[in-house]
Amino acid sequence: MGRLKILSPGFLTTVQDSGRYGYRSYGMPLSGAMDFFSHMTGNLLVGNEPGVPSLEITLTGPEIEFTGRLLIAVTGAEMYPTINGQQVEMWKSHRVGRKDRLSFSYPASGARAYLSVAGGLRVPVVMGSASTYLRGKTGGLNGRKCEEGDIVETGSHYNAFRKPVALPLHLIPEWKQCQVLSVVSGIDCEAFPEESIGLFYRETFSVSNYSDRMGIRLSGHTISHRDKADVISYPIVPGTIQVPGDGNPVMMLADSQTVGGYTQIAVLATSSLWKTGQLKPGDMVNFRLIENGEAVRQLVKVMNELDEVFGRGDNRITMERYRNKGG
Amino acid sequence: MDFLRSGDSALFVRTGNNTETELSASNKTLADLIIDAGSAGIIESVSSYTGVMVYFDPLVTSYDAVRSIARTAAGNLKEQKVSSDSPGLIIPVAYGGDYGPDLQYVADHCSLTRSEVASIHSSGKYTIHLLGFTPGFPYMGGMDPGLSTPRKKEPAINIQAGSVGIAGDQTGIYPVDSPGGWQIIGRTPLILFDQDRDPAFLLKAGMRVRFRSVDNYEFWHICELINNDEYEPETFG
Repeated sequence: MGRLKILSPGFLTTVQDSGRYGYRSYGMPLSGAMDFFSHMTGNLLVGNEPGVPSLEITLTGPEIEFTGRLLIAVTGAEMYPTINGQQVEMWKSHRVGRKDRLSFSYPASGARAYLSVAGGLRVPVVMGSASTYLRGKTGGLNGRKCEEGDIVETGSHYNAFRKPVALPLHLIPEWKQCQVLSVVSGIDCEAFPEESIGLFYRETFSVSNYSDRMGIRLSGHTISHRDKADVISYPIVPGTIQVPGDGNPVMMLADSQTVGGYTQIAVLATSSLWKTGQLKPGDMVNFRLIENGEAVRQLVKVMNELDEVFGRGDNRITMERYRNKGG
Repeated sequence: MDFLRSGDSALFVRTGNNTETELSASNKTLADLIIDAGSAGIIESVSSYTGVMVYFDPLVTSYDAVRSIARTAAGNLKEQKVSSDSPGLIIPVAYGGDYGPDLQYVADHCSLTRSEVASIHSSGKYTIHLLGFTPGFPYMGGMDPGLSTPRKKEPAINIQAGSVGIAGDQTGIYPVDSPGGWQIIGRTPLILFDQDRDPAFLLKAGMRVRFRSVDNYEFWHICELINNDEYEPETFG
């Protein structure tokens, strides 16, 4: 077992795993890593099960000291990590030792980096997950973000002295400031006139300051309803794009409510959902409507690519394995 | 009954378009039946007023397979009334002032005075149709239609835990601080969600609820009792 000592916490650093499944009927949000591709890949690079807890680092990085030998990887936003002042590559595992210090710069692109350590982070499991849900003060480190002086323990890391590995270059995502996101049409499409639907797919929206793990509020163009913006509240999925009465679309994300009462115009394809984790205020998005079959094929492609690198025979890399956290 | 896609990993079974107790009760049964079918790739189900959302893994199963399971479950669905044997819970609420910033708006919208709104709201009998939005947030039916008020056009950035709100013909309580679009008419000192308490959730679907108007003094007195672990929940028959 090793330890991470948080010397400075950064803007918002939380423990996240693949999410809190099975409690949505109590109104418990799914939570979990916003960019689950980077989270999953980080774990795989250090030999972990893909869904175990790691640190989600938002916009400004923490400074972390390690208390012993460990294998680590940084994935996600391009934040120029350094170990003892020496820049190290992202999307690659690195050995660190006692007293080694990891720090970051402001992201050149993207919004969230993931620090994965061999063995995963060891925090109490609340309702089946280690994920931090800040609004509910649930999970992670007593339901809060990392603070200066926190000590985070790691699980057993028999892989720690494994040879470092890297993600092939062509699989490393590029975080553009203007992202094209694939969606399938939403349940309440009929609530919008044709001009509104046309505008939604034609125009570019910007990510507003009202953006967090719960959702991203977009601005730039308002979408009008045929009649009213409210519906009888019904359950929603992360990735649902709602349009409230003010006409500004909102993408509901990891910590989003489980039920919503605004009309939904579209739902992000799972293969685009994780990319929203890398959007920051000022970034732009376009929406592209795809068929459901295409959405599933895109997801299959992503998982197959990871499986080719990290899969071992029958022990394939799948979303199911990700959800199960190796438990 | 309609089967609708909600993204590539969920199916919504729409069973109706009203907020009646009978419909949400039968949806709860349908949600359980779909899970009980034990089909690989179905992750969880959530029932609501107008239907059941089924979350699935599209790499293990498919929309068509899930739809067929949902259709079979709906065929086996028997009418089941929400049990009203267990006692109902009385929820103390301080109406208006800092606790209910939108009480005046609701009163104006409904052509009532603020105290009439409080009095009508606290004399009704409610049933919890579902928990959602945030951990333990109850969506309650049974409100006097004379209090019906639309949601805010732009959601408020932060609504405090315990806030009691109105949206359309529904009433509800915010269990944790969160953004939200409901018109806030008061606040309860009761704690609806606490991850360290067993059970973590104060309320559950199907439970009957009434509200009782309290003044600021009693509000703080109840807060103190809760802090000291001395609060006895008030119930009704």
